[in-house]
Amino acid sequence: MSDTQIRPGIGSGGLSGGTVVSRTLPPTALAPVAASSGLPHGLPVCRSGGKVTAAAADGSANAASVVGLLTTPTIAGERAIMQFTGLVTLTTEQWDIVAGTSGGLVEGTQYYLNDGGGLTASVLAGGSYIAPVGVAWSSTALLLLPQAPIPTTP
Amino acid sequence: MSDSEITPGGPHIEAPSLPPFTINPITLASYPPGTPVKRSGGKVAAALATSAAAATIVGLTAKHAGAGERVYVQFGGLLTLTTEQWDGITDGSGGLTEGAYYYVSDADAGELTATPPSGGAGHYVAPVGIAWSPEAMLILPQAPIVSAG
Repeated sequence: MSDTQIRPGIGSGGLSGGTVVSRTLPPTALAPVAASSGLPHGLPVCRSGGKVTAAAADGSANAASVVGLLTTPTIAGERAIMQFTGLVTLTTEQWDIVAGTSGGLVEGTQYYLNDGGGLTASVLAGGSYIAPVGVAWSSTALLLLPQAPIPTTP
Repeated sequence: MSDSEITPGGPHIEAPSLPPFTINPITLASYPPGTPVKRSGGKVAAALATSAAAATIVGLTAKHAGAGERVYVQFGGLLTLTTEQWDGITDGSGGLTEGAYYYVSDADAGELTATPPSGGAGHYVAPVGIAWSPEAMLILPQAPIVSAG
């Protein structure tokens, strides 16, 4: 199953882009195939093996290269919805699972990819990558603006 | 011809059906699809990561256009080209490397590199996007920063 079928936007073949599988998919979202089941809402993911999988700041540069946040549950080998920019709104409980917070996100705070996956408000060091993911718009919304990972000194 | 006429939300929209994350400015020269471009002289021109200004991109060309013509420039979302087209932009082979970030090249104007430029002054790190597959890039342009020495 190729997720290139669901790309929005334009390609070399014309302005209409590729075949649209889901016409209701917003322009800020994609529907890639998930590598594993049970990944939570809001989890930062990276691209690997034609699928998306959990990103982590303490792995490789590619593993720390966040392509977006999951906005639906995942089942291994099936499509999930992933947003790559814009506001991602979840419940405070869902953010607490992903960001290790209590009561949701802290408004105005920059969140980064965490060691082992998920989000953290701490700037990592010790060999991990600093990979900014977005800024908390409110306790329930993150303005998703993923940036390239920057290596730190071990 | 002023490209202010086609600013999304502006008073004179010539191309109301522009695809998402796409603008339609005039190009200084003819560039192949996938070329990272900056804003210059009311047009867009090939970017080069040797100064902050030259490395500040507005997107990637999505289709070919001749010098002085309007070109589709995509500043977000997936841009899909052939592997051969990407190879021409990256000096690579077999297309993009899935999962890898690509940056504006500090060696060749209008090209991309998967290796962040280094060397300090005169070499800027300007992330452009992540390879979604050998044929597609998820465009996530970011401000350039001077590289580590």
